[in-house]
Amino acid sequence: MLSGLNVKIEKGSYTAILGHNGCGKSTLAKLLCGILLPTEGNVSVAGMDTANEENAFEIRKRCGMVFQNPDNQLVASVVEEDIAFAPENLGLARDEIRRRVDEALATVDMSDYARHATHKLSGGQKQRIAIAGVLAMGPDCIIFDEATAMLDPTGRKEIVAAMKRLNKEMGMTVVTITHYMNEAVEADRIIVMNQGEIIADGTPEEIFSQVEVLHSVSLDVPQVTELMFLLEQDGFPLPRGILHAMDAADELEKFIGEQKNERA
Amino acid sequence: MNALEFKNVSVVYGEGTPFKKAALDNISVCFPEKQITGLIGHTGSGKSTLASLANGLLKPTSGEVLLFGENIWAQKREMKKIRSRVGLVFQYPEYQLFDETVEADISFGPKNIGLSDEEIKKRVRLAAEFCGLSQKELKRSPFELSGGQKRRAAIAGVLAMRPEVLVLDEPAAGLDPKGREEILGGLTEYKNTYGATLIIISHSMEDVARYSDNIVVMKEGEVYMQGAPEEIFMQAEKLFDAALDLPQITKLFIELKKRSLCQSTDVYTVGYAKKEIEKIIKNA
Repeated sequence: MLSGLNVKIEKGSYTAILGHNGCGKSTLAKLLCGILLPTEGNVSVAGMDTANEENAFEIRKRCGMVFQNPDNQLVASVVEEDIAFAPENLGLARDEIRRRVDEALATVDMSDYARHATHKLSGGQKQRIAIAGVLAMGPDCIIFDEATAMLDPTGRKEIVAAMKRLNKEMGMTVVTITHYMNEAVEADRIIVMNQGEIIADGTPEEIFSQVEVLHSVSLDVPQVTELMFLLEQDGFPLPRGILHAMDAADELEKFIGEQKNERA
Repeated sequence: MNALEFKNVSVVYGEGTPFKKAALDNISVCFPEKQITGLIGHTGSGKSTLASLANGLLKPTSGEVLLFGENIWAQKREMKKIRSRVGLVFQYPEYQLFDETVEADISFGPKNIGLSDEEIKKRVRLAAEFCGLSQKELKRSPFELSGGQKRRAAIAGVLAMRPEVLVLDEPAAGLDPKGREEILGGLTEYKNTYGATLIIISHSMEDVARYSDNIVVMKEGEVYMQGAPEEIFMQAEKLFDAALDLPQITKLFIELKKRSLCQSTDVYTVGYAKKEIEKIIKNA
């Protein structure tokens, strides 16, 4: 699945991993937290080798994962019990568990739902509970494996907002695997994978300037990025790597203004 | 003519219990024949309930579901026929694959309606073609395929039934852009070849904008908006109210209009946007 891959994820960074189905994204994610072990080479989390079984417990505590299907990740029928599951297993004191659960719920903005039944929550709410469950472990790093794929636009926004908060306000390392280009744009760094190899690695602006490269591995770019790229190809001197509608509007306004002045 | 019509349909779950909830509340909506209708709405807005009503998996608590003008519940014994005329593809249909080879899996439906071996073979081949599956893939076990191929195999199984109306619940969810295009493109081709009617449930505004002739927006169990894509995406505020989004390109044009750089905001595909911008630049 992966061959000769070298990658470092900095502490406190926010990284998105892009690639088409079957390119090795999920394999990489599973390697990062020691669910899978590499056939060759090694993976270390905070300096600990994942292949060393003695490290497994510590690595899983530091590196949590949120998966795609919201229905597969909740273990209890009441929200706060679900979140308490991990800290209970860590053998923490009652007060500490209470504190962690409340804090985790507050972080994902679900405090009002502490006593609610998990099966009656919306998809986005369930995913936020799954995140809170990971947070209660007190990790340094959270990996999201297509955690928004099954959500509606509102649910998706909730999760992306939570990711940003975890990274920007709490300094947590966030790695997100996604097919949604609009989500990848929010990260500080994007890694593009194809057939088990990294083919591009850089800031969103750098990555989305390479429209041809992305198309060649059957990936899309955000609609405005595509539009600006096509206009540039037709000979209009517009910048590449535009990601947001607002920025595109700014650039187009500037360009149209210049055209007017030239003709006047 | 309308392929499918819902007349004053309500569906109430848990009637007579404290958990009573109207999933659909007196809705009336039409799905015109030979067109693709995009069905959008927030989670819990009633989209999937509507899908289950289309082929009689669910009986409305009140109101009528009409297939080409005939009430599908008029003769209960006819339900089997109705189900072969209206195909339903659930979310993540690849979980329903079961047979030893992809070919056998796709043949399952046609076999059950008693078609000849020759006809079954023909249908399997055509269905596989629409879904972009090769002869080689037909001989493989469905469980050896990639996620995108599995999805296509599952959809081919429904196309092989040659339904007149096809309702698909998020057929492209979780696939990469190329996979999405292959599936939605293949479905459009099927529609054009057989004059079928498609109802596609989706959360992707970009996909809906690109492939639908009409859009129906659901909100809290009611039909909130319906019309051509350009009519729907012009009403940004209303869409935000329904917890939905706009295609990114439409957002750009709304912003350009605010800055008095263009008049129209009914732009929702990149190709059309490019033409519009080029016009604006030319006239500057």
